[in-house]
Amino acid sequence: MTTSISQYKCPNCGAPIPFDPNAQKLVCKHCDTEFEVSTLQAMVSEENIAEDSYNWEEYQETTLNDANGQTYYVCPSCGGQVIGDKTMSASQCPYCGNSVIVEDKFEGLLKPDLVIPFKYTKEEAKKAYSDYLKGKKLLAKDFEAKNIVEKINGLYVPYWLFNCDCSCQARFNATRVRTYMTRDFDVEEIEHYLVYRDGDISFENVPVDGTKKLPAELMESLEPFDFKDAVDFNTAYLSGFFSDQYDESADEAIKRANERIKASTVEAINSTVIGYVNVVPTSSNVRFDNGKVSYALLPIYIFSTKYNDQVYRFAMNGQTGKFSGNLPADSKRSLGYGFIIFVIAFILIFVLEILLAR
Amino acid sequence: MKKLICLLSFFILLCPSIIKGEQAYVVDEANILSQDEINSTQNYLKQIAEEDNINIVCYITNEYSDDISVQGADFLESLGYYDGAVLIINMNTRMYDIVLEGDSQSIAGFIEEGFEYLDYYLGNGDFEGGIKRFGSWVHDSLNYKEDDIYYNDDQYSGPNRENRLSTMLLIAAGSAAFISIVVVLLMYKQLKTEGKKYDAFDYVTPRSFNLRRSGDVFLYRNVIRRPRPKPENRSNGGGGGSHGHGSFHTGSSSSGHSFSSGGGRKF
Repeated sequence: MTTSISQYKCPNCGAPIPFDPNAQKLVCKHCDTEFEVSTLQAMVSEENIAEDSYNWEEYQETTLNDANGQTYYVCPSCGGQVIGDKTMSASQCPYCGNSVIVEDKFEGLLKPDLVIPFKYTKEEAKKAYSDYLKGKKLLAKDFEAKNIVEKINGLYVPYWLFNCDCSCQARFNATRVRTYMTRDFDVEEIEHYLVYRDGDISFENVPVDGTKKLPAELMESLEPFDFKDAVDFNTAYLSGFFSDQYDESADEAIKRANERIKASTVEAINSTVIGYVNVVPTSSNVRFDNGKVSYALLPIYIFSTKYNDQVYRFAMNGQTGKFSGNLPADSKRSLGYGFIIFVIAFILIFVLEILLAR
Repeated sequence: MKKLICLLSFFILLCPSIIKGEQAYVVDEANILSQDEINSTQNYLKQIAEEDNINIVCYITNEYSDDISVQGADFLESLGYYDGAVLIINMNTRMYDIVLEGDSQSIAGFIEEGFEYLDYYLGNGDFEGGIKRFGSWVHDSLNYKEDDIYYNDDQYSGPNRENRLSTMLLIAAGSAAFISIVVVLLMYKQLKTEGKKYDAFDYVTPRSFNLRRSGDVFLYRNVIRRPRPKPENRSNGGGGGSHGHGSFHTGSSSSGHSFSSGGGRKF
C-alpha cells in the first residue's frame, strides 16, 4: 500500500513549512507565520480540482426529401445558396446583393427541429432601417440618399442550439482590509483567505449560427432570441421567405458554444464571492453534462448595400425587431464635431478655473 | 513765579524725548539718535500710526534684560498700549526684537520678513533707517492682501503669474481634448453595432443556478503599523506658530498679556 505524503508550503512566502511541536502548529521559518494544521489541509484539498470536460451528444440529421415547391437560388458571385418558393421571383442574393440564378436541382432540405416564425413584416424591417439611420451624427451625409433600400429579404438562418447542465469549481485568493488608529499608530490589518465555490447552472438553446456566409459578429449582435415562440418545423412557415442549410457543422459550432457557456458559468460563480477588497481567481474547472444539440431555423431580415466600393450588410431579428449593422463614418464630420466640442469644453473649463481661483 | 518756572523745567528735563502734548513714538533712552533723527523718525511713525490706526513705538534702551521680547511688551504696556507694535533695540545686549500685542498680532506671520530688513539697517548702524523701515514694514503688513497687484509685484514676480495662467490654459486644453475625444468616440460607437457576445446569460434556464458548496478559509493576517506624526515642539516657553509667510514666537508680558514676537535677534 502506498501512502502519498503532501509537503505543505507557506501561503505567505511559499517556503516549506514544518510542524512545530512547541506551538503545535505549522510555523514558517522564513516569515514566522503560524497556521493550524486543519487550515493547511483544507487549503491543499481545495487546490486540487479537475480539468474542464465537455460531454455533448452527437447530432443525428434527418432529411426532407419532398421538395414541396422549394427550389435553390444560387449566387454566382459569393456562392451563396438559398432555398425558396418557385413562385418567388428572387433576383438578389441576400448575402451580397448580387443577382442570383435558379438552380433546378434540389437535393432535399435538412429537417430542422425547431423554427421561430417571422413576427415582423418586410415593411416594418424597411422602417426599422430608416429609423436606424436617424440621429447618427457622424454618418456620411449622402449614405442614406445613395442607399435607398428597395428589397429586403426575409431569410431563415440555420442555427445550432445547445443545451447542457454545467457544473463549476472555482478557487480564489481574497483579502479583507481593516484600518484603525491607536494613540501612537495608524494600523492596517490585511486578512488573507482561500475561497472556494462549487455550483451548477443549466443552459438551454444557446444559439450558434451554422452559416459561414454571414459574419458571426452580425448574427450574435441580433440576439437574444426568445424560444418560447419556437414551434416544431413545418415547411409552411418557409413560404414567402428564403431559408438556408448549414455549412458549418455542429462539431465546428460547439467550440463557440463552449466558450460562451463556460464564460457565463465562471462569471456566475465569481459573482458569489463578495465582501472582499481584492479577489484573485487561482483555478477553475467546468464540466458539461447532458449536452444536447438541436438544429433550428431562426428569422432574420437581411440586405446588403454598397457605398464607396464597400459592401455594408444589415440585419434585423425577425422575431424581436432588433437591428444591427455597421455604418460608414464621415471623417470630416468627426473632426468638425470634435473641434466644436473641444472649443465649448475649453471655454467652460477655463471660465470655471478662473471662478474657482477667485 | 520762580517756583512755577522750576517746576516746568523739571518736567522738561525729566522727559527729553517726549514732546509736550504729543504721543511718544520714539523713546531713545540710550541717546544714540540725534535730535534731528528723533524728529524725523517720530514724524514717520506718527504718520503710519494715524494712517493705519495702530499704536507703533520704537524703544531704544541700555537696560539689561535676558528676555528682550518681554522687555518690549512691558514697555509698550507702560505707555498704556495693550494693542500695538514696538521695535525694541537693546544697546546693552546688542539685540533687537519686534513685539506685537493685541490685534496687531495679526501681522505676526510677517515678522521674519521684517527681520530681513532690519538686520541690514541695524547691522550697519543706521538706526534712523531701521526705525523707518520698521514703520513701513508695519504699514505694508497691515495692508497686505492676497490678490493685491502691488504686493504681488513684490512677492510674486511676473514669471510666476504667467506660470499660473499657462497652467490653467494647459489644464483647460487637456480636459477639453479628453472630453471631445470621449464624446466623438461615443458618437462613433453608435455607428458600430456588430459585435460578438461573450456570454450566454440570456439562455440560462430559470432558477437553475445552485451553489452546492462554498467556503472561506482564513489563512493568515498581515499587520502594518505606521507611527503617527507627533506635534512640533514649542520654543520660548510661550509657544510659537506660523502663519502664512513665516514663523513667530508667542509669550506673555509681566502683566500677563499675550504677545507675538520674533524672539530677539543680534545685530
